[in-house]
Amino acid sequence: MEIEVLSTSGSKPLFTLTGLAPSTTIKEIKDQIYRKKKALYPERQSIRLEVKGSSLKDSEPISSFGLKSGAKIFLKDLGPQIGWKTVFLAEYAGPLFVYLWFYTRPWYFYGEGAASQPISQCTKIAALCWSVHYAKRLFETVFVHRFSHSTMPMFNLFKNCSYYWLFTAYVAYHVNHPLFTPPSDTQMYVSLGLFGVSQLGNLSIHVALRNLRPPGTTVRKIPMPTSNPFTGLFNLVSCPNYTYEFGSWASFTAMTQCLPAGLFALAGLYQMTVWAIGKHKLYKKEFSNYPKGRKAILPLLI
Amino acid sequence: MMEKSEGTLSPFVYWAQTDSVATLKVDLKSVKDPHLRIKEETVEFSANGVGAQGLKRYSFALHLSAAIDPDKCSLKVTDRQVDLTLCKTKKAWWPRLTAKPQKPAWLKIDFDKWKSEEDFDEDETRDIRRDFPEIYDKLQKEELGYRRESAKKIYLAIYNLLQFIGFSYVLIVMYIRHYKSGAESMEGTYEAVGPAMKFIQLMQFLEVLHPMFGYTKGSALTPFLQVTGRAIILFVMIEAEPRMQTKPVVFYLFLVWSMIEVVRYPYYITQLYNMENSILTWLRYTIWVPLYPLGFLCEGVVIIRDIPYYEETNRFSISMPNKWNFSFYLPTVMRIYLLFLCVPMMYFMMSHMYRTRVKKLGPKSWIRKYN
Repeated sequence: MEIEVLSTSGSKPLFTLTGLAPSTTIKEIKDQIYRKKKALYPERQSIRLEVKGSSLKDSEPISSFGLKSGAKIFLKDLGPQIGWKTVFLAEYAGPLFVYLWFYTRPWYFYGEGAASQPISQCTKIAALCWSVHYAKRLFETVFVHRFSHSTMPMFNLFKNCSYYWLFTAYVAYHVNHPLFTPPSDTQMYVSLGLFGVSQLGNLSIHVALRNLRPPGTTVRKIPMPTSNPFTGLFNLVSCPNYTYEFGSWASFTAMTQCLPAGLFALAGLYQMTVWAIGKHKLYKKEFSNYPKGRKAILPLLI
Repeated sequence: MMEKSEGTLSPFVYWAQTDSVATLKVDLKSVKDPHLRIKEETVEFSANGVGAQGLKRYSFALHLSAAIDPDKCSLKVTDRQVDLTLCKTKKAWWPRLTAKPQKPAWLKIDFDKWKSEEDFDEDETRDIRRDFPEIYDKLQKEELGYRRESAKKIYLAIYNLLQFIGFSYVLIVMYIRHYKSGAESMEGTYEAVGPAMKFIQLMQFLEVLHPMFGYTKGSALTPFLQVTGRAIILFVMIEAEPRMQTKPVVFYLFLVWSMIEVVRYPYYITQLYNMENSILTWLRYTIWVPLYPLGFLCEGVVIIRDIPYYEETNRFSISMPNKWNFSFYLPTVMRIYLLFLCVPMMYFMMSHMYRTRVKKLGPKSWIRKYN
């Protein structure tokens, strides 16, 4: 059978695909289109039944959409794509290097002679915490996370890296400053402890989510607490990984008593709350038996 | 006020309609012994009840504008009133209830029914007024003697008018001073119109509240960014640094700002009252082309010339050490704005205006592309 492919911008006819069967999958259609136009690799294509419709899944056969010979489908070019893993590695490696660079107190930001000034215990611990956090993230990107999509738009690389790298510079400049004043030891060590707990919690959730999904699939199940006590937070929120993440940065702020770090924590909280609410709604829509008491990100609150 | 018709008292009757039904609300309380006679084009009603003349027997007769189906009519008596529902034989809008143009004095319009459709079983929950706006206005005028204007609209019209007057005042004063002393007048610009400019600038924060309270469409974020940006230039860059106030760039900046506003506010007024003025519309969607870049340029000049002053005075800056390990150095922020933010922001604002221009002024073939 034949199907006509139209563009979503202006509904121009682009290709006519031939030799299709009802069992042909969307993925195979994308491969055919790719063969006709080299620039449009499959990850860059979004196939829909209407110009503004939702993207059809790769694994579905065309028969499940009731498409017969002569039917029309729409192709949207998602723009240049880049792999999720690539983006994550770039955006997490940056903070590691940028923060440690500020730790050496370059003359450009601090003036001459700043590097020879004494470094407080708090500044050293903060640098360690920051590095551990981002090293952990890089580790998780390579060994723990399972991604639902393989790519995202190229522009996101620029956007995400700017966010992480510039905020790192902003926080690092202040914590590593020769005139940085640490809080009391009690405050520092208690916050450090909380930071450690939050890091372990965050890692536990990531591992639990990984084990929730069989390898190579994009199966979705309701996340539940496991034998790891840190995962108990699942009883209270849908996205405890974000809860722990905010916990880490709130602790870091208390540990350094640094307003820029607080701003970074709040910015992250805002973004993660938006994501958490989206995920929470998706869970509730997908699973009719989704636990009722759970909130999205902050227990009992949001 | 009662009128005797055929020797009997008439009650007040309020009528309303949809395109398939006409309703009569007879204003009689504690009605007893109602008599109703309905034919294809006439309605006769009488009953004992409490009306404007107390407990009496009231009656009325109506010769209708078009035919109704007597079998489908319904009568409902409550303690407060009597509701009559008449089904029109043919679905149509009746210009009047009665066949004759002269309306009896006891027949009034039921404005409440015109607002909501709750009493009807029909699916239509539309506001009829939208379909026949002129008729509603005409009826209101006939009934009440005047047309009620929406308070929101009046407020917005007054706001836009006052702002227009404010910015015109600035332009006029600047023009007169320039006419009298040429380039020398520029130095005293801030002294002459600065207070007025500060006042109308602050008033512009109302434009952030308008979308928040539903007075105008759109998001509150755009006006917030625009008004805040200008406020920073005016209050932080100029007001707070006296040495900036006597520079000629202030003259040019006020000129550019005022020229934009003096077109924008009257344009809004024409939109409020649906009195499209093609010249004004064209101006509003075209003068931004030269004026936005000029505005950004003047603002940029103000900022760049202020940098040495703020490095000297350190105003608005916070340095370390302090309890919150926080530092803010205004000259650095000013530099970052000029180097990295100024051009993208201008691009963003101008492309937004361009899109709105195409939507408003065409060419028609482009409109779909920008939608």
